Amino acid sequence: MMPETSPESLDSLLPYVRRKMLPIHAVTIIHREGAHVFVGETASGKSTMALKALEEGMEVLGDDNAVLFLGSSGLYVSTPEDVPIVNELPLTERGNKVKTIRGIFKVAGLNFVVSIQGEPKRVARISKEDYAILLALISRTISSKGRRALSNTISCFFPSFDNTKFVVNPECFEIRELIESEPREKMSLDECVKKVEKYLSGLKRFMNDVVPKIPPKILSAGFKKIKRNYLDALSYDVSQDIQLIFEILNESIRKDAGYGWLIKVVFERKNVQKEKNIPLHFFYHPGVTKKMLLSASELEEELLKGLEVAKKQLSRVQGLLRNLREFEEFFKSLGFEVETLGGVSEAKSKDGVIVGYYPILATNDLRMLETWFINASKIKLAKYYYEDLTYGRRSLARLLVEDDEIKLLDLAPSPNKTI
Amino acid sequence: MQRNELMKYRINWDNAIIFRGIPKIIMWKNDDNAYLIEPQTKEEERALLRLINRIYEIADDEGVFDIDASKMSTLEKELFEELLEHKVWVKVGEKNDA
Repeated sequence: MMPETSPESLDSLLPYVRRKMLPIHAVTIIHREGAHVFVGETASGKSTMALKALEEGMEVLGDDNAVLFLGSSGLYVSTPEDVPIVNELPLTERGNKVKTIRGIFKVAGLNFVVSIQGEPKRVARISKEDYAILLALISRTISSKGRRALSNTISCFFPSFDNTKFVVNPECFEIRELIESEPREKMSLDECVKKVEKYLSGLKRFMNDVVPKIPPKILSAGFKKIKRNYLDALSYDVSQDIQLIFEILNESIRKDAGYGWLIKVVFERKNVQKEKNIPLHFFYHPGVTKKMLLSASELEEELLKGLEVAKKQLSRVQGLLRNLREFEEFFKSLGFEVETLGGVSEAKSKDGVIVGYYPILATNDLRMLETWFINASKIKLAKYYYEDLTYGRRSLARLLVEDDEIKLLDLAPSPNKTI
Repeated sequence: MQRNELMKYRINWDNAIIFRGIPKIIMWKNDDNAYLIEPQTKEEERALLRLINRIYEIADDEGVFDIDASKMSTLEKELFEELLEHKVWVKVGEKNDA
């Protein structure tokens, strides 16, 4: 029925499930004090929805993960950070992660989302039993302990499942339309599963499309040339204090975003311990343009273009993290409102969406970084990694640059869990 | 006096997921392939639901339960046996004298 496997497994999340909590891969949008949970796999349109919701001034809970649990009057949702598991492996490490919004909210609607290219947008009711089955099918727990705990947990929850819907192509909807829709059409589990399978095969085709068809020989030769030219890294002194480093990596990230070279662009402060030093990591990935892999000479051109773009941005970027004043100036220069109170500063868009915090690093949260990119869409980098050096994790976002606008394609944890 | 057929079984969580209150069972052939066991008729659906809910009540944390097949309806017994063949649950003990 579900022919896909994933390296992700619910088994690492057993501490939650054992406590009758269900961690899910979902985006949660808060609307009229109710939480609308949209469950879906990678590239199903969740992040696009989150960004749309933020742009419309709605609140979004956490990032890609949520935890469902039963409360006094039904089903509630929160972020993993707000339901920390003591002495056991947490879903994500605790810390001062900035969330767009945090807290515990009563679930007002449960949605299952898939994106299928070429199909019309559609929203249909499904039974809560079918929703439970779909949740189990995508949870991909593989051990008997995991399956037992998952069964017990969902068994407790499902009487509280309300407003369960199945959404095809969520990115084609207005967010309010999606949340407030009360579909008459009912979709059967069979049809849902067929859609999920179609989505998965579409995802595979997409992955194949972005994988350049180039013989391994040429790829290897090209990479050697780059290594010879740049010795793996190119450093550029921006000022007495700041340097810009391009690192050229032949890392394959086929699973997430195709295959190709990554050019890592790092802004660093000189003479500072590296662990405390790296404010932003940008990766430029030519493959995302769906063109053939660039030749070595073309890659050189790309590097130079990237350098030019980066140079233009440096006056802004170098002011990011030095101190509160620089933080304020930086965000004000981008047109955001900045409020400082008691040494803590928040930068907000006109809609009140928080796009930066000080002293918490502005780039310490993926959702915020997305927002930042959307609002300040001047940096023409097709893709970035978000690296949380404190906790040694990476996440990956794929962006498409079109007509001077940056469109978020996808967000996914990097296959390399640690840096 | 009715013959006691109390036997010990264990839900086979390696292969199956069952939910209390849902008359459907997800089975995994392997890590890649899942399929769904669904009742074909309303009577089967009701019988499967009763069976699942009862097993949920009597199973311990490991999914081990004692059940007396002689106390099931004919349809429940048929379903129970069929699901035993599918290895949704497996027998872990011989007839118990309890």
